[in-house]
Amino acid sequence: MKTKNKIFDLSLCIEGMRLLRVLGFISFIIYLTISFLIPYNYSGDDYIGQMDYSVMDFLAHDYVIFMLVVPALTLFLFSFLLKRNSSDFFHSIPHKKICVFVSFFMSIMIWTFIIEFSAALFSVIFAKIFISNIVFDFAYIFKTLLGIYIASMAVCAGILMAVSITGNFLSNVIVSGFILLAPKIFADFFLDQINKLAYNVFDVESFFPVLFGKYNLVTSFMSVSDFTEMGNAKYQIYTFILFAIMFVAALILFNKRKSEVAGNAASYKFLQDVYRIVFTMILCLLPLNMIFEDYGKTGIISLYVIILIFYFVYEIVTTKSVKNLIKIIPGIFIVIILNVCIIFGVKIVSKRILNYKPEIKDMSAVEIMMDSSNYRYYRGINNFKIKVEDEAGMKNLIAALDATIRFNRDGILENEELGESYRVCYYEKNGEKYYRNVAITPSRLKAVLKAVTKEKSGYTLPKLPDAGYFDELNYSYDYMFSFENCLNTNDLTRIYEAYRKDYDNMSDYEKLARTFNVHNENSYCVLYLDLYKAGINYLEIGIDESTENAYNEFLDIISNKKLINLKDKTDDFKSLFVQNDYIDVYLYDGLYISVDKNVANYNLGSDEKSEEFFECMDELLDYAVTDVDEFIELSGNDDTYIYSIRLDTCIQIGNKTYDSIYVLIEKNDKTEELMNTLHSFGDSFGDK
Amino acid sequence: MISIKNLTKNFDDFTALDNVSCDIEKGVIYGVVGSNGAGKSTLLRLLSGIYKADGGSIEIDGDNVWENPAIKEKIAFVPDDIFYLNGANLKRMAKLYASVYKKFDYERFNYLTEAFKLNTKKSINTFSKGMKRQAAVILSLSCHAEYMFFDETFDGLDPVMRALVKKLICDDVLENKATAILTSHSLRELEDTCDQLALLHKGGLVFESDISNLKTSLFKVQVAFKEDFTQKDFEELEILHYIKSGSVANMIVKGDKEMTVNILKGKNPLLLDVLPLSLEEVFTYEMAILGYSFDDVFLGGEASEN
Repeated sequence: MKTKNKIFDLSLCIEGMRLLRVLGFISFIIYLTISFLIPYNYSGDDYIGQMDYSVMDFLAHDYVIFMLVVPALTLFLFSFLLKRNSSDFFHSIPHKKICVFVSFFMSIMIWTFIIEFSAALFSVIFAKIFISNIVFDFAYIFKTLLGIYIASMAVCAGILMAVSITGNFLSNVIVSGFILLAPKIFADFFLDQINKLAYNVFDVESFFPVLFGKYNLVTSFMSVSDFTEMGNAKYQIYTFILFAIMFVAALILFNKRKSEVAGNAASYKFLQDVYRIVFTMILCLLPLNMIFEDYGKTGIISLYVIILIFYFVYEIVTTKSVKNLIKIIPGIFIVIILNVCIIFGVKIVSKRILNYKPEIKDMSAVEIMMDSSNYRYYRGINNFKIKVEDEAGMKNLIAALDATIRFNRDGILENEELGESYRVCYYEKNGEKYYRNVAITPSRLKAVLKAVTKEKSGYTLPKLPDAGYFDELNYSYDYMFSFENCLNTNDLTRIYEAYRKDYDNMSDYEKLARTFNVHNENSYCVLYLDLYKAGINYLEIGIDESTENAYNEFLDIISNKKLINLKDKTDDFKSLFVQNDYIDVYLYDGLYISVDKNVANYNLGSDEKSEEFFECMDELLDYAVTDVDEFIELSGNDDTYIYSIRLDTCIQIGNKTYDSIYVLIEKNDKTEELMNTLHSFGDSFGDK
Repeated sequence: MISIKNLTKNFDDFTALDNVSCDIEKGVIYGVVGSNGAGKSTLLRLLSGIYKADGGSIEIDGDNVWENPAIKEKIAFVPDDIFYLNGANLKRMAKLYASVYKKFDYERFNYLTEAFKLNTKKSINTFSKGMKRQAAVILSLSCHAEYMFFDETFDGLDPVMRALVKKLICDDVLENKATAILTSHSLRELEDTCDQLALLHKGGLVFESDISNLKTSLFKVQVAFKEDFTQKDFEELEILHYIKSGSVANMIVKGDKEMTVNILKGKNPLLLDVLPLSLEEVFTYEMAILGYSFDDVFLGGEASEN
């Protein structure tokens, strides 16, 4: 017969959507409103270009759809399992249970799709309306939305597992949390404690790379501070596999579920024991943490006593009955055993980690691995690895491990140098590998990199793409706010292409040094190029004298620019000072002089004093450096004062609006006198 | 046809139904009586495919009910605790039923709502208990089910509505050869509607019989003779109960009425009256044969059904 083996029924799916329509519609309206408000909020900004916005800025509400909307929809639609009469009804209808499950699941996912994608669509539309020259990378947005949708599916499946093995709302929510978050919570706790006891040299990622959890888009927000990996295909595939496993498990559990368990805390008695123990164990993480941090016994014992009470409270609250309180006592012993296992497990593993002291005679190679946590001037460098096989280099990296432990344990800094932490793999001759997080100081790193050769190490650095690859070219250089005509895209393209020539001519060591950010630490960069791709700062380059082509290109371009003559603008400046609530004047002569109209002890209270102040400022401007070459030469030089003003509304100069203006003031006796006078008007801070 | 063989259902350590077997032909109205906790609702839920049996089998038209959408399509079940969507009115519930039951008939639905005089746009939450039951009956009858199960449905209905519901059920059975199973703890309620009756007690089927057969095979005889007489004088009759008061004896006799009358007439009685028994009285005596007390079964009901 036709309906016999159906696993999906369209009418049932539509009915499911109908059952969700109030919740779905409310969510839709809320999301639509947020999609309007976010870009509307940005519409007052005076930023130019895309660089100040990321997809996250506009789709923040979409990112959390799987945390808020999906759980609400799932719990609501499957709430028929919580009461006998509704459970009986849905078990009596002429559909297989699998058909009800799949059809209702589809109802939830269709609503999710509608809310998520229309919110994104409207965000883009409103952004285009309110922000004139905004640019979106639609491919990136789509990939992100796909990741969010996959995470939503996983959350839905996890909750469906929970509702299939519980029978009241409280248990639904608690067990959903267990299924979706508890593995991550326990894994994180276990690994964090090991790492703590091992003085942070433990490479968590290598322990259980998959379980580390960053690949799980549902819980990755617990590890990373933002959601930028939503569009990562590898993470999406992992999360989808997780979804598939949970979906099948939920399907089986739902199929096995009896209608008569509606209203019970758990569908089977033994499961209630499991939930209670898991709940208690999560609470036990607090005193366990205290044990590992060597807190006082009194506090730890007190906490355990409170948790014991909660053990019984959980039973009472979820079953609404006190009749089982005696029967659940044996479960306490299981909790105790688990606590003991965790304590011993953590201590044993961390000790093993610390006891590993590599010896040069056993080493075949040491590999330094760069990942997303390391500074990378170029985002295109992903998972960069460099193998060190020379003895000196390996000795250096073995010593770095020791130094890292000493610093993390005792606070002893080697040679007063701080090192960036890298994942390092110690390859032993017997084939064993040991992964550690090692802080490698710049001097060590330079020494190691100098000895490395491309042929032996086998590394490949990606070529820098041409300027057309990027969506936006921008720059940061404070002193560009001194020019009437700032660097435009053509200027930046010229400088960047010149830099590419510089880069191609660099030695392997120089390239590596740039990759590891240990090049020219003390050199003065005249310009920082920031190149953006899909809203992310993809490439940051400092232009200094060592990048000859780029440097010369920069000077060539700058020579055709005109410095702002603030002297011409003092009337504007004065009127702005009167008009604006906020105006900062920074005068730097080794000390900052800050004059803020709103500062409580601002002593420019009277008109007379204000007049005096402006006269002083005006006179100082007579000594402003106006020649571009001189300006470039003196930039960063101690023989000048920096004179800057910052406004809360912009001032138009040339073809640009400025909210900050910088002027270099030549240092001489007169300007020194004026500066001293100005010190008396405002607060001074900083170290001279 | 419904075929139940050795049906058993447990809830944790409580046995709700224990080895129940019976066959219910198509086109009958089958009554199931029993006290609270006897297993009536459990039986209906098993028949509707809501519960899965722990032992035995249930077949409807030769097919197992459990997880069988084709069979479930033929079933309409009105439980004692009726489900309605939150805040829904009858119209909304009709939509729900129409989406899950392919044979749901809006024409019939409209006809029935008019017959019962229920407002389809008003929230069901505002209905009285009786009206809610009526609504449930309307929705079920609109599904054109071949098998209708009503669990304590008449509870809460006024006599007029009760009569209407019974009439509708009977019409369906007669016209469409539907089969109805009604459960109740009251014999009187089922007496005038059902063709067959079964008695459940503590999860077991005590007995089942055709009602007409029950009423005709058991009757009360009042007899008096000139001479003195005792029960032994009537050995040829199957007497379930004998009371003599003075010279008049009241006997409950099981057997053929005509034959019994002829036998008694042959003894030249001064008084011979044959009186019909109420169903309750029939049950009392039939159960006594089986060793059950009527009061124990109908008034001393123990655990509630799950």
